[in-house]
Amino acid sequence: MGLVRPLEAAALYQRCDPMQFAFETTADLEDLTGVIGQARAVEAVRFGIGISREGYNLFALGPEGTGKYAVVRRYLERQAADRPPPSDWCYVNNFVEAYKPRALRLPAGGGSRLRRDMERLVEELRTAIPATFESENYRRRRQDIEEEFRERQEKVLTEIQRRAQERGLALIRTPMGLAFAPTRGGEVISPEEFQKLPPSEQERAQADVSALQEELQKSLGQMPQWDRERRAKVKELNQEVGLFAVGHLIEELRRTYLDLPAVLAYLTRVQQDVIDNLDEFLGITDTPPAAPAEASPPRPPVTASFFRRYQVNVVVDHSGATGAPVIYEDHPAVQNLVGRIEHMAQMGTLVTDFNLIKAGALYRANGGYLILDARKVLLQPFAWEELKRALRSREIRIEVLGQTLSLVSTVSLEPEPIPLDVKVILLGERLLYYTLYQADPDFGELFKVAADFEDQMDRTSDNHLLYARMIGTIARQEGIRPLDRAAVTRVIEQSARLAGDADKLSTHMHSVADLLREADYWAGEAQHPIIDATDVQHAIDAQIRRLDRVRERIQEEIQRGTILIDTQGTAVGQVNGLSVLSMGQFAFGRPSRITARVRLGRGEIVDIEREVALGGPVHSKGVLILSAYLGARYASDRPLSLSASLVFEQSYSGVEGDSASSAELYALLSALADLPVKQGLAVTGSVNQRGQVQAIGGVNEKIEGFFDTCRAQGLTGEQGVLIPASNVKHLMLRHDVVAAVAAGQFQVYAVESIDQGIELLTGVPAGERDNAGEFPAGSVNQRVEARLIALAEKRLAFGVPERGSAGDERARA
Amino acid sequence: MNERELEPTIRRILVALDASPHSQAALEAASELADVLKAELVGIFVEDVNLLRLAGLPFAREVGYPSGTDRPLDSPSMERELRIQAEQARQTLAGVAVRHQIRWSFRVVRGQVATELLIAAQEADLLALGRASWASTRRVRLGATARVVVAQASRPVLLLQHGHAICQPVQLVYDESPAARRALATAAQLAALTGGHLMVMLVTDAPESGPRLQEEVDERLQVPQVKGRYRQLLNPTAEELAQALRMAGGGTLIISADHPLLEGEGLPTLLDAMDCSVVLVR
Repeated sequence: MGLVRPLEAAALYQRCDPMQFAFETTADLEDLTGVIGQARAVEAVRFGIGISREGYNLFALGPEGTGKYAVVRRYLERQAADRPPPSDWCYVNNFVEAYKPRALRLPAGGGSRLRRDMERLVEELRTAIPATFESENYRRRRQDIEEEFRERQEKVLTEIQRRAQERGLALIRTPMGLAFAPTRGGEVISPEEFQKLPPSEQERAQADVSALQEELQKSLGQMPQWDRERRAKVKELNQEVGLFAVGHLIEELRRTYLDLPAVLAYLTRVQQDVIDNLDEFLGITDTPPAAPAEASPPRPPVTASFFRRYQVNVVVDHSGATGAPVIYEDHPAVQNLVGRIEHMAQMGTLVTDFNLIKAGALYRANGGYLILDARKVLLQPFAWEELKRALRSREIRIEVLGQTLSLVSTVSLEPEPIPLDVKVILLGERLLYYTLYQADPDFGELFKVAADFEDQMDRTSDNHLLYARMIGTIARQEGIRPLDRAAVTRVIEQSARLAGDADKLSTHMHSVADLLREADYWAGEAQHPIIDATDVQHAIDAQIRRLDRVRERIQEEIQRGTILIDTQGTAVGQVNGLSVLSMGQFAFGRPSRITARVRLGRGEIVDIEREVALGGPVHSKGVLILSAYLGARYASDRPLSLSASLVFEQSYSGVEGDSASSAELYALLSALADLPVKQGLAVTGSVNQRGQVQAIGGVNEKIEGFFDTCRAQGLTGEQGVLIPASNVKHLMLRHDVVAAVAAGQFQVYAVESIDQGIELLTGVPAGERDNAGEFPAGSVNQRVEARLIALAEKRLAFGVPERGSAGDERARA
Repeated sequence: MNERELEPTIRRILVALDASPHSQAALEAASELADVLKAELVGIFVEDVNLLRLAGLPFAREVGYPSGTDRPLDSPSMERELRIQAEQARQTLAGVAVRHQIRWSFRVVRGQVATELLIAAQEADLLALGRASWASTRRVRLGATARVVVAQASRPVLLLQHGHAICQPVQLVYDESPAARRALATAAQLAALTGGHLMVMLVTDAPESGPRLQEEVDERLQVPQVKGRYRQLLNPTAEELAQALRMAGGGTLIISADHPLLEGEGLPTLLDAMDCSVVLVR
């Protein structure tokens, strides 16, 4: 087996050839109307929007910035334009149960028309009714009734007065009522004179008085009844006159709403209510006329608020709309989503009525589409439950949250629910979708269509051109300078780097757009009329520069010898591993020294990270694979009699991932074989039980991290990184790294197996078993095997028995 | 008519008070007038001797109106009741007078109401009283007391109803009687103080005497501040006069107390037709 050759510089960076493009700048390119690289999601969106069945709501899942909203919005608008605008909805007073406002459905634009009509009607009624009641005709009829009553009263009192006079008595008004007294000469007889009368006369007078009193009482008993009759007659007259004043005005209105039975029924109720409340139109209030004393407090303006009952609260107004609504609710709190009922302070109390019902997004989107951000909905208390309830019950019902939770107890309303026909589109991350699917049994029923957005697309020459057009489109939309061909290729290459794959392009449009905006800024600084490749590069460098403080500090500490990393010379049991640190939107690689020590033992490989719980489960898994590999390869027929310890030196926080497992194995083999490892090389890759090196993530950052360290300490030409062969397709390395490789100052080796790797690291052949099953003398494997055999024999020589059986023997002895 | 004659001849207004809401309205209206004329307001409360006698009778009882409940009456409680009413009347008068910033006095007398009012009126230039004390029923179109006072008073009487004492335009019923000339003087005075408009109803028995009467009024009414308007009525009934007055704007009416049109139910008819008060001049 020959030594693995370093990779050619060309393999480290998949260039995008500017010559494949025919355009000069992106200004020459046509706009791109669709999105690119989202065929699956677009198909799902079209299906989800097209199908109109219960529960076929849409969940667009994918990372933030992949254009979910734009795609959904575009298809929704296209679809919505072909649909008729939905009905208007109004809330009107419920004249029977005022706390249950009624909903009225009208064709688009009809809501505001009805509101205007009602406003005009009330205005007309407020002049027409008083005019009718001021007419001579009404006055006379009203007077007739009053007169009749008065006459009846008068007749009774006059009759009694007459009878009293016959008996020489007078009917006298006392402060509180009426009384009878004997008179003489028109004056009441004084008590002294009365005493002087003969007893028979006194008795007669007394008897007469009590008889008349009884009679008077009886007559007065009838008066309330008469008064009731009078009021009934007045009311009847008022209603008759009122109907005359109101009827034709409302009938006129009814004729314009003949096709809407609900409105006709409403107008009938209005008519009845107006007739029942004529006093309000006449400006008569129920309180008795106050005494002229200045003490009487000013009355609250009740009449102004009385006419609110005839208003029409248009909660959904589609007048002028041409298609179905597409609503995006940015703040989906329950009250914005469903609706709310506001209160007014009136004389120190909170009151409300149907005019204060405010519709939420569901009302506005009814008959169309509602786009919501899933995370925002879930973050708002009760919003998710209310949304589901509305979708399940297919109606919108406003409930006052404070009321439900008993937080407030003022008067509130129960608006009539209205039927709901809406398609909801939730936008969210994948994790949210999977979590909801698992945790919420209703979710699957209500959101049957998932539109899964990709974060990558294939890097083909067709897609290159599409990407270039998309760049041009963004540039035009954002109003930034066009890009020349080279700049476009640089953006495409950076997109591949963002995707972390030389064969893929990122579909994360936000990042691309940000890069373009920043490149435009730098082009402006450099006074370039067109963005060229240097501007793009400038933008990329500046992005990194802004974020790489931590990386710089780490490299500095390596330089100063605080973090011990050698990039020259050799050492036994010591390998440079590579890890990736993610700091927000920026990730970078750093080398870590991995060391292994071995001694006689009972076959355990101690992963110190795991012992102190600094290693994650995947990391521990990698280490356990090592011992399995070691045992199976070198000590399949004898006990593995070593005790080895592995450690990530100077690691003070957790380690996760198995990408260092090959480095750990190399350190272990070096320690066992007592062969020094070249410190100029760094290693990444996971290993399986068969010794194959497997792909890892962040390969670019790792290589660059080690390159930076080497460059700082001085490039010797001997330095390089061993990466899994399966990671070669992901290489999109920084230009300086590629240049160093081309100049022979730095190497990248693609390694398939542990044997290949150890040969590179030690410079000693790994060795393969020959026909006799022996490794060639001097090879790494032979030295490892020999050491393990030696350890096993030594262990035998110590005669260390198994702990359990030793105890047994002692017990028998 | 010269400037001197135009000086207010009404310096003391006697207002009859009792506890009824009607009387309070009358008081309000009278003080308005007192304010305009810069006159003194004299309030009088008559403790009705009839009531006291009644309460003294051994079998005295009253029937509550309109409740119909039967209650015994006795002198001490009737005295107390009248004292309370008098005090209420005094307080009301004081409050109103202070508000209008007019001079005032108040006294309580005991006796027959009409008699006492007529006696007190001797010392006043104008007697103001409500058309009826019991407003709740409006059964009585002109109260018994008012009837007696109107018939016997030697002074001008201001008959008040709800509403204002002085409404514009001031209206005058004018004929050939000497009383009408006195009424004209009062009317001119009032009109001069309240805006200068005077509506004169020329009541004649022949069409041709209208212009002559108008000339007569014009002649007598040589007050630059007052502008007269005229309407001739030929032998009107009380109803016709009432309608004419209403159409002319329904302002305060000045009419001589013994005008033939007021006989019988004439006065109540006029009062019914108008919202404003009536001054009966002698």
